[in-house]
Amino acid sequence: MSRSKDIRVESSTLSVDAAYLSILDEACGGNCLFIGTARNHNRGAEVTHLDFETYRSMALKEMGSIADEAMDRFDIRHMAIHHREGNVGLRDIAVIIAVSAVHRDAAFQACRFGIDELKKRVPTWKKEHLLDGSHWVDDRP
Amino acid sequence: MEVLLFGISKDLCGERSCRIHQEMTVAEVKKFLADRYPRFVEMPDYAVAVNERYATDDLTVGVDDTLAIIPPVSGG
Repeated sequence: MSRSKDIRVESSTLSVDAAYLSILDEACGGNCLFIGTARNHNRGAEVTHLDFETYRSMALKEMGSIADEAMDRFDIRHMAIHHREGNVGLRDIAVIIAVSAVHRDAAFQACRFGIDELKKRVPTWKKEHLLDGSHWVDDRP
Repeated sequence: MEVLLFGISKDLCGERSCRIHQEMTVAEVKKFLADRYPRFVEMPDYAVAVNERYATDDLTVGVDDTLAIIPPVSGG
């Protein structure tokens, strides 16, 4: 039974196709993708774009650890975690979590685990640019 | 040791990194940074990583290690 993880921090546009292709497996019938995009508002303020700063080497390690833990906890075969860095425009993709499993339940659970853990511990910082300035986002919803 | 500053800590300190030429604990590094950078006290709760792993205050950091200030993360 082959298992794999595909961990990336990219400074250019993330590809849903690339993430999806990296988890496809003819033994798997359940594929789950979470796609996080930049939205145009936060706490009542209009957001124009985002800027992600990343401690790249540690982020890659933490993302890899999350994938390893997901494979230990859930009956999944493949997991991709792709995160953007740099300038991210509205509707652009900030993160993709993709998981494949024999059955859908494990794929859903692992996908949720992946994005939740990423938001807790992967060293990446989002700067929101607003119409009247910018600030680092320091909350963890 | 090399100290890496990210996010809000980089803005408050006005630089991306600095060097400390002696061994000290994580807690002592925090005090060192607060003494060196007046605005460091404005930091929100933050974590510290040593050699790319989250570390606690009692860990001793050697002169060849890399310590990173990790403000509250906001990926995704």
